[in-house]
Amino acid sequence: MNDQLIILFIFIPLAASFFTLIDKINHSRNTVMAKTAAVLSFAACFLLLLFFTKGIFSGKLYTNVIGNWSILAGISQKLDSLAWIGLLLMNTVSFLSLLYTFSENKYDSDFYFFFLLLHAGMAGMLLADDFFNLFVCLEITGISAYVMIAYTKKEKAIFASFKYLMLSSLGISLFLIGVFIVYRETGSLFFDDARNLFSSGKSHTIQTAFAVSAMIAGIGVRTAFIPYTWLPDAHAFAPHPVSAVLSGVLIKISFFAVWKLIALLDIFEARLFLLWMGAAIALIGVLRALSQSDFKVLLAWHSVSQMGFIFAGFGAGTALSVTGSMYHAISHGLFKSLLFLSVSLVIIKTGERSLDKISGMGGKMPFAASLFVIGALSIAGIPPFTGYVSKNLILSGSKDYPAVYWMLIAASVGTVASFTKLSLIFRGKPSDAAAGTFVTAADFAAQTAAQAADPESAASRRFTAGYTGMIILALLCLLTGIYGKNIAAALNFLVHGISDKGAPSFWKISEYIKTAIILISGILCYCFVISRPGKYLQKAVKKFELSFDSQLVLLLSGFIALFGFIYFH
Amino acid sequence: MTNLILIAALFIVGVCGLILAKNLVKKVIALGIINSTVIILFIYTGSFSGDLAPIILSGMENIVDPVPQALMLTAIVVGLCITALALALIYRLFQLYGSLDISEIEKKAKHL
Amino acid sequence: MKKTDILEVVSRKLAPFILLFGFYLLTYGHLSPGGGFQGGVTMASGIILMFLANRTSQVLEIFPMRAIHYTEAFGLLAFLLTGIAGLILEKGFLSNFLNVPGIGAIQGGGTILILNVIIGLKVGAGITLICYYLFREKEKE
Repeated sequence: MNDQLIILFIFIPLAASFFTLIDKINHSRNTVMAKTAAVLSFAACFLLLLFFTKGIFSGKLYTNVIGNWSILAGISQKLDSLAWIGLLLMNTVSFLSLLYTFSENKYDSDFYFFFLLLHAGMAGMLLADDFFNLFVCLEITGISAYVMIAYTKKEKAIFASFKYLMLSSLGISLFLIGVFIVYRETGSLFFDDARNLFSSGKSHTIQTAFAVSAMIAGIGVRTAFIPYTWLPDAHAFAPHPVSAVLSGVLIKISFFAVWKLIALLDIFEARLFLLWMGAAIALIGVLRALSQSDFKVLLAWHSVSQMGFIFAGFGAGTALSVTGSMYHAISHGLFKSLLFLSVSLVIIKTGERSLDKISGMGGKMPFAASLFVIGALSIAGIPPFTGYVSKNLILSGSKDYPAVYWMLIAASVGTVASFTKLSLIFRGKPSDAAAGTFVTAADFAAQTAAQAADPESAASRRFTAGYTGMIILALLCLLTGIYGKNIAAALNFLVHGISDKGAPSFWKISEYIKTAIILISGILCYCFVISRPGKYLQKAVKKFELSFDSQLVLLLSGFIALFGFIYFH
Repeated sequence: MTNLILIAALFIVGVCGLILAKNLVKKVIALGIINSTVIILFIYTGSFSGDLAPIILSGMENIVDPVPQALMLTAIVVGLCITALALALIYRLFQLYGSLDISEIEKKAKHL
Repeated sequence: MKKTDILEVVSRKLAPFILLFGFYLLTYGHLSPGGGFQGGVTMASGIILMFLANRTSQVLEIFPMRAIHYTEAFGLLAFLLTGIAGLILEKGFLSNFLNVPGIGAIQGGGTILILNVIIGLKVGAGITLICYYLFREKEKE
């Protein structure tokens, strides 16, 4: 009976989305029903996750065939440890971002409908056990993501959403062609049957190589493993909580789908490709991020860069680095959503989103500043925060490939530098746009009292729910860092199925010295960036942007490169 | 074999249209062509297994493989949603930028 | 552009048959080519034909938007409830809990018939709404 219950992970958000539809038809102003339904849906999903925890940690698999058909005819779903981790990450980060949307309070029931639909789709992607189910769920998540990105109806947001739609639709067509080849060769759509086609020891024929590369590239578009495509625009111009969900959750879930595909089919060449591609995009992302001045664009390029770390860890293929990759996927979900949300507080407060105009907000918004600092320390990999353990796991796992190792180190240095730059929002002397600054807490209180009648500031006083969510995110960043060893051991068990306590400890002097060196060189790097030649370089990097047509070509050439790599390797 | 080559040609036409067309609506049409190519590919190769409709009353011999058809039905539905959404976005883009030309929109977006 | 009487009369006569044919596709979906989506789209095309050829307000008298919205929303609920009924009464989500004898008869489909009708109504309502909102945008200008 328990096996059949896994469908509830998809059923609950869909059922909750019905209530948001009712709210929409009634033109409800305060959307109470939609909000309640969303909260209840997440709570129910958490309970369900708890229910399965024991089984997952004892190594059980839950499979369910929808409609009680025979396994040959039905749609089958599987809850394995990978899906469980994904569901846990998804529900945690999304629920905390949802709290933020309640505080921001400018979304109507449509928004909650798509928010819940996105989660039904992502749960489906994680549970999917055959190619076609994966395709349908990819499209459900895609459609809700396009709508949510365009939700503000601003010029750039709509254009970003359109670009995302076109690129990922092209990707999904490639995926379907891959599925076609698999179906023609095996007569089945299950992952398990496809495994026989690919990993029976024979070298890849042109068809299987094509199928694999088409499928990986098709889903890979969603994880932006080809840089310079849709991701920076879409993540930067979406509404703030949506940015947090997209960056924190959606690309991770797509990555888990790629993971499932590669791990199940056991394609060594694709792993190697992702290793090099990951190291490359870790560097490219950081370089681009350093040259940006828009807060959210900068953070979005960091998502590209951090995905590079995750891919490199996964690609290196050692037990350590694969665990690290999973760990980093989780911690990136936590700290990137925290960073997006804390930075968006400044954007809401001042209405500006460029470093050229805003600086020195720290005195005015000490709370947002401290949350931002926690996020920044996590992403820079400073102990005891969460990025420290996961980055070190990836680094020590990829020592077999020295070039990759040093590229990742360089990317970490760049990360420190660009977050030193981004912290200009809060440090330094206040800029003109931040005028009306109140220096002391008493001033702050006076100002809030004065603005209480003003609806704008009334909204900002009701920000408690959003703050609660962000504080929990910050705490999670801290806790997943402090208990890094235990979590790494648990992940090691979940990912590899072996309860190995051999995860190396990173709480030792040599590791601290390494981190300190990265930190210092990062700050030196920042000093170079703000110097005159550095500024010239920044401008040069920033100028290099691809048009939409070139992005389409880049996507296709990424696919062809992957195909060539798999076929000729 | 000829038919497969024709399908591949159709796919290339779609991709070229997607990349080379400047008009956004034409890009969406090109995406539709790519989508249809995949559908034709599945249905065409799926039809080799037989030529009767897979209805249980008429016996189970010489029937068409129903799985590709069921899959492509879903793909058609998804394609419909994507097209509708893309057209709605294009409509908004036209309202905001006053143009359907991709290079012009990009030029304007840069100066926003 | 001026609408001619021919268009209006023909569409008014044709639309009920299109709706009927759509409903036929829904109900016989498990026995012959057809099914929920196809039937729904056919029904929607009947309504869209009326929108195209007549004044919108006239059509809205027969098909009020609120009703179509409700059909769409409750279609989702009905589908989910049918599914969960399968989970409770039988083994598994969406499983057939109506064991009606008679393969080949209209009732022999069990829950598939119910699901087809639900999906058809939902799809029909959904596509009508998509087209209605796109038409309305044009009228607003």
